[in-house]
Amino acid sequence: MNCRQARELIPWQAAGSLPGEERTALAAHLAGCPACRTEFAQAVRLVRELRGAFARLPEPKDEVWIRTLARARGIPLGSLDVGSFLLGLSIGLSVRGGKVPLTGELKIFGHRVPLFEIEGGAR
Amino acid sequence: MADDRELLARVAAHDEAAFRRLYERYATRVFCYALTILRNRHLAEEVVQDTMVAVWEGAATFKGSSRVSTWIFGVARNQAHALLRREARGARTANEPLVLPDPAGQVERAERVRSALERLSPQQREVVFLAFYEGLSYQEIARILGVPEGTVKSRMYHAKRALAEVLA
Ligand SMILES: [Zn+2]
Repeated sequence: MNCRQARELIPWQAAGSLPGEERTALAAHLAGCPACRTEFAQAVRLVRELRGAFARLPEPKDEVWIRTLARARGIPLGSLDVGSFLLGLSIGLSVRGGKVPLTGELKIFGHRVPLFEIEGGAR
Repeated sequence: MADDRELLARVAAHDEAAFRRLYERYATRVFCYALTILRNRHLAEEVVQDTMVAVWEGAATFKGSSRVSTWIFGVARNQAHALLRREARGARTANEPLVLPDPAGQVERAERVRSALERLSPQQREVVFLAFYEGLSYQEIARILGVPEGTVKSRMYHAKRALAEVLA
């Protein structure tokens, strides 16, 4: 194994996903090549830092689950723009005995208007 | 604790509680993956929906020849690219900042990591995400991307060099 081949494998070894045979060959190269050892140490640090960066990415809003479940049940939520009226929308959701009731209501001028209330299985 | 395969089998039978658990396991990961490709929260949330609905409808077609995660990320990638094609015909723009700053100090370093990531091409960034964050092998990533293993290795090689240049 030459240095170029080793450097192709180093990031994968640093991420812990290199298959056994290649891992052994790379280890043999690293044992005799200080430059690639430095490269490997750098890759390990890089993996750690990038994992940290990806872990700080935001999460999808809760509303995404409501939309997903509604679509799975074949409810045409797509015609409603949930995001635009979410401030006035309250959504109740719980898991009960394997069924997931999905309810939503809209507050218009202080009045609660049921938007949808579907017990699980209403497909 | 049900493993991914058990959950997916129950989802194939349209068990909504299992679907909720699978969603909890994957929504954020799919969201982050979509963000690395699309760099837009709103679009990435659409990809989560599209992906999970496709999983709900297609769970029965899962062959079991790969890990469930590999399959789901493959679905997510197809959905992200389908969305990109739809967006290309519309006018919505991507390119929001990719990563939130680290509130617990080391802000400067975190900022450099963020900008280094942003300088990668989307193709390099998704390989880096799947390899470093999801821990997938280059064989699995080649499968998700539908490209030869050598291409995945080469994208990683160049991504790593570009990252090291900025972060050295
Ligand atoms: Zn070497």
